[in-house]
Amino acid sequence: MAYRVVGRSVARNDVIDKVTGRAKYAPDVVIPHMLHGKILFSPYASARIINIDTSLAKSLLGVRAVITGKDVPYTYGSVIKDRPIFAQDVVRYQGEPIVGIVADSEVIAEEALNLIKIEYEEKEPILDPFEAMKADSSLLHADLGSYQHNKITYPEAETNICSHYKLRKGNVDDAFEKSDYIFEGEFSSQMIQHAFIEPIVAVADADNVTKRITIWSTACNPFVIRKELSSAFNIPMGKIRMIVNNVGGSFGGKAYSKIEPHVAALSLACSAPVRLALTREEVFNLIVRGPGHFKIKTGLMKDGTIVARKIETVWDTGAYAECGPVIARNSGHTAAGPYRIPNVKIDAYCVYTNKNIAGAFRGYGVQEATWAVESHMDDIAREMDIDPYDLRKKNILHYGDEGATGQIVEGTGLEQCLDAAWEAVNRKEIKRKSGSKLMGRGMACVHKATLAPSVSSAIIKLSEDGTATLLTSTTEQGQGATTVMAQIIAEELGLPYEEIYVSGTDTDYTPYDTTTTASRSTFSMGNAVLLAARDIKEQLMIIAAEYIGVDKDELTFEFGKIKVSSQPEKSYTIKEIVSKYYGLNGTLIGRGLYRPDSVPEDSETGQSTKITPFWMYGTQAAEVEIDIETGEINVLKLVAAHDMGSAINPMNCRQQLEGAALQGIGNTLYEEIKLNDKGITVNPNFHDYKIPTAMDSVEIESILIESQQKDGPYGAKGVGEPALAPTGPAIRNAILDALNIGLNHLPLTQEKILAAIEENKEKLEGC
Amino acid sequence: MKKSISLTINGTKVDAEVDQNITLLSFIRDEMGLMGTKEGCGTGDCGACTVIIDGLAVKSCIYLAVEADGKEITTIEGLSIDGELHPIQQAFVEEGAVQCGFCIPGTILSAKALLDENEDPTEEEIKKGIAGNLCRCTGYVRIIKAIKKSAKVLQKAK
Repeated sequence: MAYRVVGRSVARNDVIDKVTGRAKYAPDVVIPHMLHGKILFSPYASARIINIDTSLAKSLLGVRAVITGKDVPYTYGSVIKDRPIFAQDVVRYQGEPIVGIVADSEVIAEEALNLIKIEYEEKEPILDPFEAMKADSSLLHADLGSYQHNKITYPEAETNICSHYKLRKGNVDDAFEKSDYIFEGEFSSQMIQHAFIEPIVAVADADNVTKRITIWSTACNPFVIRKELSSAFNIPMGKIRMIVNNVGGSFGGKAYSKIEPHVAALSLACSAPVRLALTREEVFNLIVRGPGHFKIKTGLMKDGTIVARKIETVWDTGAYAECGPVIARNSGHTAAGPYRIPNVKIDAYCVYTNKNIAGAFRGYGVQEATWAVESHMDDIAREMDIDPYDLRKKNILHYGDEGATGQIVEGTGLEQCLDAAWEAVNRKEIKRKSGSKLMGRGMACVHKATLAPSVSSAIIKLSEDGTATLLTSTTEQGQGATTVMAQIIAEELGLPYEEIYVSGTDTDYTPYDTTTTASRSTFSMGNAVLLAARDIKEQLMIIAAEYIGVDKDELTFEFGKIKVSSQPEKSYTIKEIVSKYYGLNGTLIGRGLYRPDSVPEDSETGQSTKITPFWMYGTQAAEVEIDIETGEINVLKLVAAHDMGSAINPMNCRQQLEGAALQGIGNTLYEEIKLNDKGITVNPNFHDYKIPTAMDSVEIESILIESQQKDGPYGAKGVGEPALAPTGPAIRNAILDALNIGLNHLPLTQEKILAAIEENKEKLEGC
Repeated sequence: MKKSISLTINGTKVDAEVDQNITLLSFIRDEMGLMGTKEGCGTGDCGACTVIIDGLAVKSCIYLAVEADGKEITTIEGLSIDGELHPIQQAFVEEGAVQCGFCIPGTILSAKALLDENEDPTEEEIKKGIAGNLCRCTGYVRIIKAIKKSAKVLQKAK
């Protein structure tokens, strides 16, 4: 069916504000007479606090409040409630908040910080997750067994393992016995940072008599944060108002509470509006993607059929759980790869250490697991002398197959992605060698689940002039959600796209949405918006029947026009109907609520007939050139073929693929947060932590596969996160193709590549 | 200690008394209320705070307000005139060069400083011209295309 607005690359509805500088972000919020907050963070990764003396800071002119853990003895965390707002005697990582200050200006607040005297007893930090897992390791959280946690977290009391996720399918031991070949591999992914350009900022306006709290923040899941605050401060949810306008990039790093509990505590302490803006260094220390370790064993038959796969992963989650247990679990959905494997065993351990806190990062668990399993696939292909494409093609999940979690595959997009990406990168022959440069090609596939269960609701207000406003709590972080939602309304109601207005999030006024994460918005909120538009349509028909004086059954709705079957020459516009009904003023309210189906997993086997409402698929292929004298690597071309279900806005889809590709190149080749032996970050700034600049941009071919998601709005599903996962292994496999050297530990720096070349001189001779 | 400065911002003459230690970024945002200039790092590494000072793209977070005395400043708010987008802004819209948008004002101003100096830059010169403006969303592909396109439009308009 041909659509008029859906499927078109209309200009984003936030773009004019963004090119003129008018778009408002949380750092731009100014409240009259607002005060300024600062936090004193721990300089140690592990310590006991002996004494805090704030007397000098309190007496400084212009200081309004000084608070410590004693003033707000609350904990928060929606996965595991393990985290104090300010430290309670114990420091578990560098960057742990200890004292909060409110002053008339940021300068005074900073001066006051220097007047605080803290006596610490420094302890040896636990920095190695494998040490932390040992039975005799000292415990970061002695009370782990008594902490509140969600249903998909499996803590092991009296250990540092805050969750142990298990997936069991078939019998791997028997299958390994019967396998013709067994291959094993070990891989790791490093600590990196999101590096969104907008820092983390929040403004709170709270009253300590009524306990009413309003917060403007950079959050991407304001309802989750509202719930965390309500539970931590014991204040009813309705008294907490979260407002989020444009978010200047998140990539998951602004999910869950960041500084919202702190700014709320500071504002409550002085009953005045307070702004808390983190410096870039503080942002680097607040949230990272944690390191991951992977051991994989695969059994195959002679013809290349994979019959068994066993995986053990260790997730170094840092001092507090954040969403680490969910990262470990979600990695389990993906770790066996998008292949038909009858016997799978996965153990994922999420482990506390005295390191930076690991949080969500664009497809959490999936990018790391994809790195490991897709690298392992090419190692197998090389050992068995099979083309890596053929090995994948033979084993890939098809329509009707059962995946590792027990869910039947419903779409066909994966194979289309595989074929399209490999075809695109192989269009012309490459020169394998040119002087000291060797060239190679590689590929990697990904499958990813979304969040379940979850809820999205939407309200459409149709004004008497026929224009519509959408109230939605999906936050616009750059992904283009507000544009897609407006396109859906324009299509469904036949209104001009330019006349659909989309709200920011305000939990007082915009209806509930679980989160803006997990690539769930186009599908889940898109469906809620579609239902709200249909609700409007239904009401219009009732009103129109009354106004025209015919039976409702005689009416049809055709792209913004209401027609009567007995009067084919006549039609009525929405504006005409609404304004006639209400007279001069009035608004129709359409409501939509969408709760996609899902089935909870079995806690011992991870099996579920529907762990996720939909799966996302993609394949990327890379062409690289390596100078064997210097180890320098150039990504010459990157092809990203991903299944959109259907592309509601093809330009937006391409933006996601292109942006993820360069992010993936940085993550793969050079980005790494480095800690010293005391657990202190040594490169918490853009000078020492390099992200790709325009000089690093590469040729990216994006291919949009449209497999039509049967229950997606206009066939659409998510795309943002899976776009990042295959880039790393595709590049790594291209290096393997060029040099016959497999590099298993990220990042693949020039130094590391050169060292591997030196060590493997004999392998290169045949190249 | 305060000091009197006199400068031009987006064509308007401004006289002000400023603390000697405040940055131009702080003056533009907190004193002038021009919030289109963004702070991303505060250390001159990301370029979100880029403004044009006497024709040069400058990172205003590491530039003191007092240094701007007597100078002519252009911020993102000074680019569109009478409700019309500047050709660079227009090209960013048309080419889909914008995602979260936080780096965009700074990037557009770096592009303007480049095109004012070099009306027909090569792709390499464009990349160099915006190498100091970090963007984590776009991969720069469409930003580069948009600058190329606007260079053509600006040349034609001459």
